[in-house]
Amino acid sequence: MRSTNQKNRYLRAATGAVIVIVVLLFVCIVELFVLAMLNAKLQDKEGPSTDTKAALATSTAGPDDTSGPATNPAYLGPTEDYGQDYIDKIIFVGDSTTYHLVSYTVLSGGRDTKQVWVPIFEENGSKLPTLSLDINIAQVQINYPRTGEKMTIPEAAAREKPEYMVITLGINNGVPCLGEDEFKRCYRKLLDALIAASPDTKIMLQSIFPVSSDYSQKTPSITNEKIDRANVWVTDLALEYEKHGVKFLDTNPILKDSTGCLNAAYSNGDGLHLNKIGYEKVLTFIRTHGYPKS
Amino acid sequence: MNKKAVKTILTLILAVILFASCGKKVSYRDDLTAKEVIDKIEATVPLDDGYYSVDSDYLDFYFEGADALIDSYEIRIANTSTNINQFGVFKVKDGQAEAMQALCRGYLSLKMERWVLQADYIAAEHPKMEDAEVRIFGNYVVYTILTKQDKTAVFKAVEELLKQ
Repeated sequence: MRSTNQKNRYLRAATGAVIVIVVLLFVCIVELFVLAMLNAKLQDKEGPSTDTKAALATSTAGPDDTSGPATNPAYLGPTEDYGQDYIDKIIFVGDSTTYHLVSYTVLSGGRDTKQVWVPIFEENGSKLPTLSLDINIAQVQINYPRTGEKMTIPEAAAREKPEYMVITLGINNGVPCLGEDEFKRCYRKLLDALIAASPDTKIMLQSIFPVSSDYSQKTPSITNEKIDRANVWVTDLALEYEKHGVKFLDTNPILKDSTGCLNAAYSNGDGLHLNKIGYEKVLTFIRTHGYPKS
Repeated sequence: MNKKAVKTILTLILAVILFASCGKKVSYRDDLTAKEVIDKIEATVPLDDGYYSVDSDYLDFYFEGADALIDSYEIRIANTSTNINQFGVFKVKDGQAEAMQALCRGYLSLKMERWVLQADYIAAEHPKMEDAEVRIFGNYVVYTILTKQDKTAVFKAVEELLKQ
């Protein structure tokens, strides 16, 4: 009798334990479901997570990347060396990472080159070159190098009608702040205005340069994962505008070291901008990955 | 007795509050366009390189839903991109001022959030972000991203322009 009572007690305890486990499992499943929903919502808002698309874009030309060189007609592959004449015909548009083509005198004309279009402003005696990827990007003014007049980038394009243009954008505002939709919307704003202003200009979108690991630690909103992710969006844009002759120049991978960060040999020391050797490497890549001759 | 005294005191307080707020109520004209108001603002805080007016994409991008609230708008941004001076005027439809103010506050918060993400980017301009503010003047909603002094001057000018 006593042993039967004991047995019943064990049975009750075991049944209780099973119920608790089942309830806990149910709670876990509900939690996982809620987390998955939240994650999906967050991705909708901020673009893809670094786990998914950034992994795909570690090199923007990764083998699994459907917009990579094999399948993306906008991607500029290796060509013969187009020479210095080709470089001399290019107008470079961008932010401070483009502006230092001037300060390192790597273009014909050195500091007096007319090939770099970057808004530059004097502040306390120093020059501040900067251009943010934002929805008003087509309205921001540059000093048109040939005349010194202030005008927007599309206005300068309408005036000059350059044969080639290399655009490098996104490190300011784009990478740290914008999700995929906003990033592309802002970039499109400039592309649409440029194509309307100078339809025959052959536009090349250059990938955003990598940064050093020190720089990412100091500025966590700008990491190479985020840059790689944004470069996939730039590739997408080049493909989207391929019908207008827009191409993609993937210089980012050649500037990285084995850890996927900006190679110290190409950095000016701040972890964000290139030095002279870095720019020469980029220019060599551009002339050996030339725009297809018609 | 006590209850009656409390009731009387409460009634008096309510009456005072009511009259006080009636006394403060200011009416504003609403016959000016957003552009006419913003021209006044720009004259108060001139810049060597001037300002440009944003296009409609800027409104869609940063003030989603504003179209339904406003009759007209004008946003001006400094031509020098190292100067973050900026202000906007929205002439709203009747009863929509608070809703537009909320949109402006959202915009200023977003700008601040993104500003912080680029910590050392034009750091000297940071106080303007911190002093960003939005105010309602009848059927006009005005926001500024300016220095404290400029902001005070601008709101004073708008008050003088619109007050009846």
